This record gives sequence, structure tokens and C-alpha cells, in this order.
Amino acid sequence: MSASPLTTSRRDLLKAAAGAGALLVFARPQAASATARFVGEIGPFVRIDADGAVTIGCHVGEMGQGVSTALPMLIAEELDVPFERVSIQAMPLHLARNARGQARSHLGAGQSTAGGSNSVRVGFMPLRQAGARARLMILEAAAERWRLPVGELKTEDGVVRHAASGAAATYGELAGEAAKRPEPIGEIVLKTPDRFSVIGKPQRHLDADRIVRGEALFGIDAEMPGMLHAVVARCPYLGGKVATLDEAHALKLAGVVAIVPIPVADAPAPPLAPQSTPLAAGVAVVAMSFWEALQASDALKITWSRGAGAAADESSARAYADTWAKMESTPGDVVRKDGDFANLRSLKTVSARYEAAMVAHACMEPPNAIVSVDPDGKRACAILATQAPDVAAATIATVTGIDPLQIDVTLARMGGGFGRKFDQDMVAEAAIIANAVRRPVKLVWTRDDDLQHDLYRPGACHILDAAVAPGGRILGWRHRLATHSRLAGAAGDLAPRLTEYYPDGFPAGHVPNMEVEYHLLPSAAPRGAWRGPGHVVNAFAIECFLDEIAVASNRDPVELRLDMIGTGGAHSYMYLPQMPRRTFDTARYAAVIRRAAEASGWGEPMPKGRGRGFAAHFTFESYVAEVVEVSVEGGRLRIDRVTAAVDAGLIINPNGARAQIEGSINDGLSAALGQAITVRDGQVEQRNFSDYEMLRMDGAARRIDVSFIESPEPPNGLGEPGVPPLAPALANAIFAATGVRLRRTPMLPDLQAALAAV
Amino acid sequence: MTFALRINGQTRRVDAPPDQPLLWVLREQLGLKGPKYGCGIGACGACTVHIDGQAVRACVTPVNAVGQSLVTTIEGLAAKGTLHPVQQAWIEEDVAQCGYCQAGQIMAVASLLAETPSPSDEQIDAQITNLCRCGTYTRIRTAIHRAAKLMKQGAA
Ligand code: FES
Ligand code: FES
Repeated sequence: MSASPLTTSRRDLLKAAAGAGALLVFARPQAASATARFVGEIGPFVRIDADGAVTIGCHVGEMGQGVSTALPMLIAEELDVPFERVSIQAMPLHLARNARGQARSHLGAGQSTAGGSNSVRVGFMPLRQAGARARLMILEAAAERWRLPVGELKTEDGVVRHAASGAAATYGELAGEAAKRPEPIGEIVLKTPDRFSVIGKPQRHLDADRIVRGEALFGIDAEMPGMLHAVVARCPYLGGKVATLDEAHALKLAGVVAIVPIPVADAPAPPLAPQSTPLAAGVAVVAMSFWEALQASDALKITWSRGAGAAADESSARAYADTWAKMESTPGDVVRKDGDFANLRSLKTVSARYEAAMVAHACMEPPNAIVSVDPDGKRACAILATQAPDVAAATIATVTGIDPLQIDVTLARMGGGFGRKFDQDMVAEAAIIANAVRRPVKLVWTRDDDLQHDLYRPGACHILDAAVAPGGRILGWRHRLATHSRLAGAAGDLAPRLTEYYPDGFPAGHVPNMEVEYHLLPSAAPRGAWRGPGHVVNAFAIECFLDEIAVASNRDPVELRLDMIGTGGAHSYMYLPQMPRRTFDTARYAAVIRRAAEASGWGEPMPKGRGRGFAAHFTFESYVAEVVEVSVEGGRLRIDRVTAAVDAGLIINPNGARAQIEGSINDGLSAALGQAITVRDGQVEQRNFSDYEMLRMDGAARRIDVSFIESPEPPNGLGEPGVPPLAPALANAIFAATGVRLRRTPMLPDLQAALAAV
Repeated sequence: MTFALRINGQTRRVDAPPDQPLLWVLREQLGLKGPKYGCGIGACGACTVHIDGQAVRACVTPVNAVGQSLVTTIEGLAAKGTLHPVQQAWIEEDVAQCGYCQAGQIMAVASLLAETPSPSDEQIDAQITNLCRCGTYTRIRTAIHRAAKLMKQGAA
């Protein structure tokens, strides 16, 4: 690929448009050289047809988080076109080398990655600039046509007007001339918020019509000509391997084309350099159809060897028991230490322990990947439902040895991501198989594969102690936690604790003496990022504990939090040491706490058997407080209502934002109530939805009210922040309704046992 | 074996082993990608289609059990391109997030409403058991009630 990345991608969109007989305008990032252009820039996003139809490219994978609506809204705003006229196209990912020689999407280093709820936050300014550049090119085309100064022209709803002469032309009429214009240079002055006509107005999901018609939008639906299908039989033992393989029978079955081993190095969760993606040892069957591949993979005669060391007969029950004991007897890594907790011995102490099981992602679309390697092994292309297309391409390059610039990645819609499709194990497997057969291969994981070989959300043990003054003020806070850690296992990784506890989260800074200690909860099961990583389980422990302190000191849980915060203010907040610090503004935190309390009718009396519970959390720079209202009748739990108050800065698409919070609430219920991944005898026990209990209609929240704080602050993401407050608010509500204090997720088994005992 | 299946108003001939689930015949042999794979054991509903109007989980329906019955997939739900009231309600309530489960949800609901035109919340709880990891259940419930209204208006 000798052409500059810009030219390549321009050519591609041109090609796409030429098919439709369209005229084009591009909002191209301008720059002197390919390198300068590469850094931090987002590429061409806009196409306008002669009939005025506007196509806007989306460079981030859609997985239900709504980016394919929210990001184009940012461009449409500055372009000044009515959003109803916009259609969206997933953008091709083309790689180029950056200044450091790494192959990255030219659309902006790392910005095509969907994670950390970052797409809207990171895209807010660059995408508006892209829209503004396109608009300026259209204005300049009009100015030239009419021989008028640009400054006298205005745009409105896709039309350029000159008030004095009455001249007017639609964007479609100007598109051809605008496309030929040189790139505008430098930053363009953007609209002030009072002039927004797209941002802040509720929009429906742009693909809603295609989804309800059942169109083939997802990775698992995609095809390539001549494509084969693969299923992998993976070792059921954590870190185990293939001992013996008898493939003779399977090879004779109808449709079977090849058997390809998936080799891995010795070690639990062996990393696939450089992406640290763990692969399970296995054997792939390649066939003419999925069904044939699945039949043949069942027919393989494989004996598996167990993992080495502790993995050989790992048991969750034993690992948790040992860890509880170790946390009591041995000091852990110090995560935070303010003042001296030990000095507060004379005060009243409140203590509690909380536990969380590992959970799986269980995206409704199971992992899959389509990869094709050319017969000469020099080029590859892929259609992927992935959250991290750059990393996917790098993974294919690592596996096949193909130059990353010779790898084409097309993004398909994801049937859920939640952090699972951030990792590249499915892509690595598909690349290994495609490289062996040198044909296009679609790899599909069965649900059993998915639950048995997920990158699980870490489970955890928490021991909390608080020293409370007679007036109810919390003077000391000691938090000892152990988690599986989503990083432990790969060589050269950061200390495991760094991804497991955010040391500046609440109540840090609001309790004078505070100590946090970390232990590793061992497991050979691979772990990954799960919607709101670290946050969900920590918030469960911390926010339940605050409720317990409130009850023990006869205080209202909302008032207790507000008292701790006082007037509030900006606190420096660390995500990871290598990342810029963020700001945790506890005045904004207090505002969502108050808003949720007001909107939910907090404090109003409730009939017997019903109760409200409160919790709040700061996740990825968004502030969310939730009140859960439950009733427990005849041993049955019902979620009557959940009220959420959210401060995520400026809200781009109020409808999409509300959908994210609603979904997070039901997803949070699902994970808190029924889901658990457990290991016994060195294997994950759960295999399918029959033994992995996910929320269904009957368990979902009957009513959800979401209230957004109106804010002029820059926007933050909302894909994750709605989840963390849910589990603690739920446990606190169940306590209020029944007096049963649940300190473990999943909660349902303990709730049922407690209710049966009364 | 060769089967002549009556799908979405057409007769389609396919060669398949008799025990192959209808889901994979639809998706791989007939190119109907609307029905989705989610579990393969009848536990999630992503693969829901109608057989003679009844919601059926295609992943556990062997192709040789279909016989002369009429199969409708999500692709055939919109009569002559006009959206079914359930599809319409889904758009109006903007139910879908990732959208993967929604074809199955819509098929399940369309069949429910054909038999129970105004379902109560309890009937919805009992009858609609499809999984949605995105947690769109609260909007699904609203959309079911809206679809019920749309159907009544359409019939009036
Ligand atoms: S795929 Fe058929 S019910 Fe899950
Ligand atoms: S909308 Fe994503 S699984 Fe239902």
C-alpha cells in the first residue's frame, strides 16, 4: 500500500459512492504530511449526494451503545444538516504506520477502540471539527459560484443562503464543486451550545428499521465468497492441553475440509504477544457449513491433559476460603493509606464482608470472526465484530506474519460487546485457521464455548471496617480486598491491583483515616474487562457498607453520604498511573445523590414487604445515583421501580443516553441476581443458559426513571456508569424490605435461603 | 435428504441431514440471517420463528419436523414490505440496543399478540422468555402494549 492512508480511504469511499452515482464532499483532515495528518486526526467522514442525501461515516464499532447515532450527530451538528436526512456507514479501517512505526488506524490512534465509555468523550471535539470543515468547504464553493465573500453566507438545514441577494443553493447542488476544493486549514470556530439543533435532541437509533426487519448486520451474519466454517474444540481444563487426538473419524464426515490444531504455550492463560490475549489449547474443524463443523468437532476423539500446578484441580470454593483466611492473617499490597486507622481502636466499629462470583460476558452474539488469508500468505482481510479493530489487525499480523498494512479489517455490528469483544482470542484463532487453509474462514463459538472460555469478570472478597464517632461521623475506613484481577497472568503486566481498585473513588478524601489493601484471589481462568471493570464489584462492597454504617448509627443513608461530602469539590482522580489524572467533583456527585433521592420519593413511607435502597458511583467521569424499589411477596422478589440520576456532562442524544442507563440497570440486575461462574476440578462448571442464570422479562425492572443533570460540561460516556450503583442499591432495598442483608453476588440463592428460613 | 420447505410464502428446496436444526438451514442454506444463534438448546429465543403462526425455537427444531407447515421468519413478518405492528412499535419505542435478540423477541411477541391481543404484564412475564443481555426488557414491555394498541387500531 504505497498511497497515503488518506488517499486510500478517500478512494474507498469514492468507490462506494460511485456505485450509487453520487457526487462527493469530504471533510478531510488537512495536513502537510501523512505523519502529521495521522496523529490525533480523524479522517474523512462526510459524503453528500447530488440529491442532498448525507452519508456520515462512523469509525467506532456499534455494539448497542449507540455510537453509530451519537457520533454522527456531532458531525451533523456542525455540518448544519437536519439529522433526519443523514444515513450512516461503517467506515473501513485502514492502517498506516504512525511516527513510532506502529500500525494504527489512520482515523486516529486508538480512537476506533470502543472501551472505557470513551467514544463520545474523545470524539466530541474532533468530530465536530470534521463536520465544520465539510461545511466550510461547501460555503467556499458557494462563495466562489456567487462571487461573494464567505463571511456573508449562512447555512441552515443543508442550504447555503445569501440574505442580501436572496441567493440560495442546497448542499447537494454545491457538493460537486465543494469536493474539488482544497482543505481548510486550522481549527474552525464551532457553534456555541445555544445554537445546537442536533446535539441534545432525542434521536432514535439510526439502524432501528434494519434491525426490526432482521437484516444481516452482525459479524456472525457476514460472508465472504468461498468461505469455510470452523468450530474449535477447546480444552475444558484451565490451562490444559491436547494429550491425544484421533481425527480419523471426523475427517471422513460430510463436509469436513481440514483439522487445524490451535497450539498454545505452557502456562495458565498464556499470552499471545503482544496483545496478551489468552488462548485455550484446542483443535479446529473446518467444514463447508457450521453444522457440519460442529458435528465433526463433537466426533473428534481428544483426550485432554490438565493444567499445571494449582490449575490442575482448581476449585472456586477452596480458592475463596483460602483467600478469606489470607486476608485476615497477612497484610496485602497497600493501595491507599491516609492517616492511621489503627489509632481509632476506642471508637465503635462496623464491619462486614462482601463476596462476588466471577461472571461471564455472555453477549447474545457469541464470539466469532471471519478471516481470509490469500493463497500466497501475503495479504489478509477480515470482517469482525470487534471493539478494537486496530488490535484485531495487529493480532492477525502477529499470528500470520503478514505486514499489518496488508490487512484489511471491516467492522460489522456487534451483538453486544460489554468488554468481551475488546479481546482478540477469537480473532487469533480465526487467523491461525485461515492461515492454515489459506481460504476465508468464519469461526463461530458455540454458547458452551463462550461460557467455558470467556475472559471472565474477576470475582472478589472484601472485608470492610469503619470506625464511627458517637455522633455518627465516619473517622476511619479500612478496606481489604482480593480479586482475580483482570491483568494478573500475563508477563510484564502492571501490578494486578492497579486495574482492580480506583484509589481516589469515594469515600477517599472524605474519611480522615483510610487504608486500602489488595490481595490476589488466584485462578487460572482467563479474565477480561466486563462493563465497568473494577467499578461494579467495588461499588457493591462500598455502597452496601455505607448503608450498613447508616443503619448501625441510625442515620439516613442518603444524608450520611451528603454529610460526608459536605460542600464537595474537585478531587484529583487516578485511573492508571500512565494515564492523565481526571477530576472527581464531589459537588457534582452530591447533586446526583440529591436528584435521585428527590425523584424517587426517598424517605416516603412504604408498605410492609416493600423497600427502597440507595447507591451512587463515579465511573469513567460520569456520576450516577440510583434508587431501587423492591417488593418481596411470597418469597418472590419484584423490582418495582428504579430511579437514576445521571451527570454525564452535556448529553448528546438524550434518548440513547436513557437507553444506556435503562439497559445498565437491567444488566446490573442480571449480574447481581443470578450469574455465577464457578470452577471445580480444574474446569468451569457452567455450559449454557440452562446453568447460567440471566435475567428475563419477569425479573426486569417494571419501571425505570432516568433524570439527567443539565450540564454545560463536556460530554462523558454512558455505556458503563449505570451499572455499578445497581447491585448495592438492590441489596440495600432488599434489606429495607425484608431485613435480610445480602452480602454476596449472585444474590438470589442467598435470598431464597434466607426467606425459606423465616 | 431433500426437503421442500414453505418459508415466507415461497417453497424452498434444501438438501440437509434430517436432524439438522431448522436454524442452520435457514441461516446457511437459505440465507435468512434474521433468526439468530444464541444457545442452540432452546434457552434464549434468539432463533424464534413461526411455524403455522406459533413461536418456535428453530435451533431445537429438526428440519424433518417441519413438513408442510408454514414457516415465517422475521424477514417474512412485514407483509409486502409494510411493517408488522410489533415491528412498528419496536421502532417507535426505540427498543433495540445491539439488536441481536430483537428478531427473536419480535417473533415471540407477534405470536403472543395473535393469541392474546391485550396481554397483561403477568401474561407478558410468563410468555416472553427471550434473553436480552442489553437489558431492553423495560422498553420491550412498553412496546408490547403499544403494539397491542396499534393492532386494535388497525383492526378497527
Ligand atoms: S438459539 Fe435457539 S433458543 Fe437460543
Ligand atoms: S438488544 Fe442486545 S441482546 Fe437484546
